[in-house]
Amino acid sequence: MNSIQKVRIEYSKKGPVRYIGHLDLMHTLFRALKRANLPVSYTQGFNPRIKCSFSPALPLGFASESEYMELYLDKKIDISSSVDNLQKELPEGLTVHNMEKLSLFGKSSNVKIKAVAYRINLEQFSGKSAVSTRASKEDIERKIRNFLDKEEIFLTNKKGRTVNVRPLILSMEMDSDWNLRLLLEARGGFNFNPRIIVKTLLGVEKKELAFVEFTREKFLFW
Amino acid sequence: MLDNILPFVSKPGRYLGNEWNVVHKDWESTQVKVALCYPDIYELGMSNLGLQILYYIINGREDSLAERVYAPGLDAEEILKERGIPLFSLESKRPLRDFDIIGFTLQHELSYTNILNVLNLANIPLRSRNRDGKFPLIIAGGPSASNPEPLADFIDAFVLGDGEEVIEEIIETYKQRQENGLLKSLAKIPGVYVPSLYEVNYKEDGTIEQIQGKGDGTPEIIEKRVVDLETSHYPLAPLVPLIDISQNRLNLEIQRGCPHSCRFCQSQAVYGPCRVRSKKRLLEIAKDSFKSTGYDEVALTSLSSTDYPGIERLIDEFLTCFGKNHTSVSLPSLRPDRFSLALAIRIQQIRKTGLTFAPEAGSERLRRLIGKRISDEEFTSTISQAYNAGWRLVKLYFMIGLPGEKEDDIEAIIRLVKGPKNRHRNLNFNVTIAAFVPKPHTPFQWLPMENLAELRRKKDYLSRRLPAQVKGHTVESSFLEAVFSRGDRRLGMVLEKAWAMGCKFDQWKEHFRFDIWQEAFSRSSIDPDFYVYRERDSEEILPWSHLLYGRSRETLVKDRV
Repeated sequence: MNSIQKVRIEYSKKGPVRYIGHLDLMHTLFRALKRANLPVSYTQGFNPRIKCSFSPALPLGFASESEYMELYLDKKIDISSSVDNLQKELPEGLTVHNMEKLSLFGKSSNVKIKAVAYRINLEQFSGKSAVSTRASKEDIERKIRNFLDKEEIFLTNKKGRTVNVRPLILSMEMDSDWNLRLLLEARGGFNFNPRIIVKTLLGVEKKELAFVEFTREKFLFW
Repeated sequence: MLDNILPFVSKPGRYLGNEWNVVHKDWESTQVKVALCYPDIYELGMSNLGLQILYYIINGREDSLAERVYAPGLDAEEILKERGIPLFSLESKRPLRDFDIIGFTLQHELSYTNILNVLNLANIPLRSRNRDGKFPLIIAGGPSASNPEPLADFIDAFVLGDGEEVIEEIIETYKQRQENGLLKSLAKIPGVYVPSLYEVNYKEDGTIEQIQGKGDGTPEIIEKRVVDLETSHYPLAPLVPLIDISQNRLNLEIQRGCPHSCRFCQSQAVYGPCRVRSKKRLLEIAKDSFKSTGYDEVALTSLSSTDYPGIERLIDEFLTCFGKNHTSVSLPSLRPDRFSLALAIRIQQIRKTGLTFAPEAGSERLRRLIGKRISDEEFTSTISQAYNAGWRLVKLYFMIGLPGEKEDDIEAIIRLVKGPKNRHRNLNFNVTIAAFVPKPHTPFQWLPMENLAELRRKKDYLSRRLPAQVKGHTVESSFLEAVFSRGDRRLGMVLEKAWAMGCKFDQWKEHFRFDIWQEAFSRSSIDPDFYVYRERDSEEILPWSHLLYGRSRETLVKDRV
C-alpha cells in the first residue's frame, strides 16, 4: 500500500526513560505505535520495517524537550484522537507535545537541522549540594570567556573522532538559574556530545558530571 | 537511590523497572509481598517465561504482589557495596529483606553462586538456620530443583514441577502461618520439599545410608506437580522490556513436556508429561498479548514445537490472523527432518535467523542408543533442502562423552558436517560441542561422566577438524555442572567457600574460575570425582531418591542401555 499521509510527532523524554538508548527507544516507540493501532506504513521487501525517521540520537542519560519522529501512514488519521491514543501507550517519561501533518514528499527534518540548543544545569557547583567542587558563577563565566576566546579547541568524541569544536559553538552563557545555555551548530548531521565540551570547559573529571542534568531543548532548522 | 547508580553503570536500562505492563501495587495495603529472582543478568532473566507466569499469577491476586530482581552486573554490584545500598526490587526499589517471600528460579547448576551473592547483597544470612522469622521465606523452583540437595542449607523450601498452582497454595499457607510452624505446614503442600525436615545419613564409603523425614507428617516421597495446561494461567499482558533482551518477542508456550524420551535428556522429567494448549486457547492468548505488548513476532515455544499435533494448521492460522499486521511467527528449535524444514520454509525464517538442529550424536548407531532417531540420510537431505531454500547458516548441537560412544562416533560428527559442507561450498556451520553430563531422573543417572582429559582431547580434535566455527562451554564448567547436578547436601560447604573466594557468574566463560573451585573442594575435603566419575549401583540411595519426577526408579532402570 502507498503511504497517503506523513505526520511529525514531537515528544519529550524525561526521568528514568532517558537511560534508554536510541535503538531501544525506537523499538519502544514502534511497539507503542502498534498498540495504539496507528495505520503506519511499512517498507516493501523481505523484512518490512515501519517507514519513519527519528531525530538524531540523544546521548544516554540526556533529557530532551524536543524529540521528534516523522511517520508515513497508510490511512488518514484524526490528529487529536491519535495523540491521545499514542500517549496512552507510552511508558512514563515519554510525552507527546504535538502532532502535525507534513507534506508527503518533503525531506526528513534531520537534513534541515542548523543548530541544537542544550540546557545544562550546573547548580551542583553552586555549593548548595555537597557533591562536587564549589565554583562561583563568576568563576564559570570567566571560564566561558576564556573558552570562547580561543580559536581552536580540539576535542575527541567517544568514537575517537577529533574535531575543532570552537566553530561549532554558536553561543554559550549562564542564565540566572545556574543553567549553562549552549547552542551547537550541527554540521552535516554531525552532533558533538556537549558532555565532553562541558567537561573541558569546567576542567572536571567525567565522574563529577554524573549528576549534572543535560537537556536537549530544541532544534533550530534552516 | 537510582540516581546514585544509573550514571555509573554500563547498562542502566537494566535497573529502571519501567517495562511496559510492569505492575506497581500498593505496598502497605498488600498482605503478601513476593520478590521473584532470576539469579543472572537482566537480559537473560527477562527472557524467562516461568517467572513471567508467576509474576502474572501473584499480581493477579488481591492479597499479594510480585516484584522482580536480577543479579546486578558487576559494576552495579560494586556501587551497591561501596555505598552500602542493600539489593532492591525493580518495581518499588525496596530492599529484598522487606519482602515476605523470595523465590529463586533454578535454571542450571552454574547459577548457584549467584543465588548466594544475591542473598548476601540483600544482607540476608545465607544459611536457613541463621535466619529467623524476621527474614523472608526463601523458596526455589525450576529445572534444577529436580536435585536441590546442594542448596539444602540455603533454601527453606523447594517447589517441584509446575509452579502455577503451588505458588498460590504457598501464599495461602503463608497467610495462615503460626510462629515456628510455617515450614511444617509448607511441607504438607504436595510438591513442596522442605530440606531441613529431612535427615541424610551417610555410609563410610560416602554413599547415602538413608534419607529420613524428621517428625510426623513429613512425606516420604515428594512428587512433582503437574498442571492442566489448557486451564492454567498464562500472562495476557507480559512484560515488555525497554532494552533489548535475549528473547525479545512474544513467547507463547504451545506445549509443555516432549513426546520423545531421549535417554540423556532431563527435560522430559522436569517438564513432562507432554501436554498441549489447544489452538483455540493459543489464538485467544496471542490476540490479547499482541494487543497489550505491540510485539511483531511470536515464538511458538516448547521443547519440540514441530511435534505439536497439527502444528501446520496452527501456523497457518497464526499467519492468517496476525500475518497481515506485519507479524511473524518463529519456531525456536527444529528437528533435523524434512517435516520441520517444510515448516520453517512456510514461516519464512530464511535469512532472519540461522537454522538450528540438534543431532546430538554423529552416528546413527549412537543416536539410536541415546534415543534420538534420525538417520544420516534424512539429516543430509534436510540440510541440502535448507540450502536450496536459501539458508546459508546452520547451527548444530553435538554432545561428546555419551555413554557407548566410540572413537568412530567422533569421526562420524566430522563426516556428518563435511558431507553437506563439501556439496555446498558457501553453506556455513556453527557447531556447538557440549560434554555429556549425566542428569538425575534420567536412565543415565547412574553412569559416570567421561573424564576431563578425554573430553578435552575430543573437543580439541573436533575444533581442529570440523569445517565450522566450533563453540561451547568449557569442559571444566561441564565438570562442575556434573558435580552439582548429582551432588548431595555436603556440597553446600564447597558452594559457600567458592562464593566467598569470589566465584560468581560461573556460566560466563570470562568469570568462570575452575582453579578457585578446585581450591574450594580441597579446603572442604570433598572430592568432586566422587560425584562425577563414580558409577552408581542401581540400588544405591541417590540424593534425589525421595523426589519423584514422573518415572520411577524401576522404569528408569528398564530404560537403561
